[in-house]
Amino acid sequence: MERTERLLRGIELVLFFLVAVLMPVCLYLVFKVVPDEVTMGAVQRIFYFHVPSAWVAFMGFFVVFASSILYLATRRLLWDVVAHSAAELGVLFCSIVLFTGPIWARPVWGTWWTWEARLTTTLVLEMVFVAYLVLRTQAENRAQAARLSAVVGIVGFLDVPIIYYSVRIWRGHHPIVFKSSGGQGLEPIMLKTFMLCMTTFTLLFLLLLAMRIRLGLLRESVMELKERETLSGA
Amino acid sequence: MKNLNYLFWAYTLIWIVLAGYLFSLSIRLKTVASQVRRLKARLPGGYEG
Amino acid sequence: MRAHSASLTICWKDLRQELRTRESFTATFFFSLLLLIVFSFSFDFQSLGLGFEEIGAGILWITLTFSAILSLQNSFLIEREKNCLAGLALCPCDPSAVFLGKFLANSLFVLVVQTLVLPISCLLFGYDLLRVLPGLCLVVTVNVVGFSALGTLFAAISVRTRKSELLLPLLLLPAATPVVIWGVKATRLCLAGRPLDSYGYLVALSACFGVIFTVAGVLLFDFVMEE
Repeated sequence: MERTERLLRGIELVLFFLVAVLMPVCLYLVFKVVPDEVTMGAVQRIFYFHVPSAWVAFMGFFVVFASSILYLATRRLLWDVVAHSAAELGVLFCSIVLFTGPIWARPVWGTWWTWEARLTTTLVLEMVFVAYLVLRTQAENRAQAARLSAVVGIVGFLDVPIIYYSVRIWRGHHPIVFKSSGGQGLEPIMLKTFMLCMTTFTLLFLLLLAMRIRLGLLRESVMELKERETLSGA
Repeated sequence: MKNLNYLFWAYTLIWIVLAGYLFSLSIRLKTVASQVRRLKARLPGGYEG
Repeated sequence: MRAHSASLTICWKDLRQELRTRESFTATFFFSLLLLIVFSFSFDFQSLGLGFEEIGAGILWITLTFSAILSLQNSFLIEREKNCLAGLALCPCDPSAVFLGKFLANSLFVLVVQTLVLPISCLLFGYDLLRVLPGLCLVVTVNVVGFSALGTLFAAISVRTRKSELLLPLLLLPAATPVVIWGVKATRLCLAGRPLDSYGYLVALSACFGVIFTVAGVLLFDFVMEE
C-alpha cells in the first residue's frame, strides 16, 4: 500500500507541474490569441474548456467501466477505489459541462436550456453516475458496495453510446462552433488551442484521479488499521 | 468583444468548481493521512503496510 | 437443473404467487389509473385542442414507466420480505437462469397490467384503439421487454441495499432513457395512424436494447446474487 502511495505521489508531482505550466498557456491562447468566432463572438471561447470537460467526463466513465471489470475479475479493492474515484471525477466534469453549456446557450440561443442532443445526453449520463455514487453509500457493506457498483458501472457505460444515439434520434444536432471571423472554416490556431486544452484537461483529470485514488487507498488503510486495533485489543 | 459577462461567469464557475474540489481533496487527504499516522502509532508492535 | 427449465420454474413460481395474492397486479393497476386521473387534471387537453394522437404517447409511457418500476421493485421485495433472497442465490442452477425467470415474469406482469390500462386510457381520452391495435401491441411489448431486462437487473441490485425503493428509480430511469425515447416516438407515430414502416426502425432499436441488456443481465447476475 505504501509503495502504491509513493508511486501516486510521484505521479501527482509530475502531473501538477505539467498542468501548472500548460494551464496558463491555454488561458493565454484562449483569451489573447485565438480570433473571435464569426457568429457567436467572444462567448464561443467557453468551448475551449466546455468540450474538454465533456471529453474528460467520458474518459472518467470509461475508467469506471474498465476498473469495474477488473474488480469483478480480480476482486482487488484497488480497482474498486479507482472506479469510485473516476466516477466522482466524471460527475464533477459532467457538472462543469452542464453549467457552461447553458451559460453559452443563453446569449447565443436566448434561452438557458434547450433539450438539444448533447446537453441532454450529458444530463442523463450524469444521472446514471450519480445513481452509481448513491448506490455505493446505500450498500450494506464494503464488499457489496464494490460488487454491486461494479455491475452498475459496467451496465452504465454500455448504455453511454445507446443513450447518445437515442437522444440524437429524438433531438437535433449540436451546433458547429469553430468558424472564425475569416469565414474560412476551422482556423489552425483554433484547432491547436483546442488540442492543447484537451491535453491539459486530460492531464488535470489524471492528476485529480491520482489524488482521489490515494485518498481512497488511505481510507482503506484506516479501515484495515481499525480492524487490527480491534483484533489486537480483543 | 460581445457577451463578455457570460464568458467571465463561465470561466469563473469552472475555476470555482475545480478549485473547490482540489481544496476539498487536499483537506480530506490531510485528515485521513493524520488518522493513519495516529492509528499506526496506537498499534502494539508497530505496523508494516 | 437445466437452465431453461429452471427459468420457467422461477417464472411460474412468481406467476403462481401473483395469481394467488394479486397484490402486485392490484397495486400496479390502480396506480396506473391514478396516474391517468392526475394527467387529466394536470393538462386541460380539450381547451388546448390536443387529441390523444398528440399527447397519448407521453401519457402512456409515463404511466407505463412508473407502474413498471413498482412492479419490478415488488418482484424482489417479496423475496426479501420472505427471506428468500438467499434461497434464490442457492438455487441448484445457473444464476442466469434465475435472472431469465425473473425477467420473464416481470415482463409478463407489466404486459398484463398494460392490457387493461391501454384500453382504459383510450376510453378516458376518447381514442379508437382498435385501428392501431396490432402496431401498438408490438411497440409496447418490445419496449416493455427491453425495460424489464434492465429493470430486473437493477431491481436485484437495489433490493440488497438500504433505501431500495428510492434507489431503483434513480438507477433505472436514466439508464432506460433510450427505450423510453424510442417507445414514445414509436407510439406517437402509431397513434397518428402511420404505417409500421415509419416506426419499424424504432421497434428494432428497442429490440436490440432488450437483447443487449438481457445478455448483460445473464452475464452479470451471478455477481449480483453473491452474498
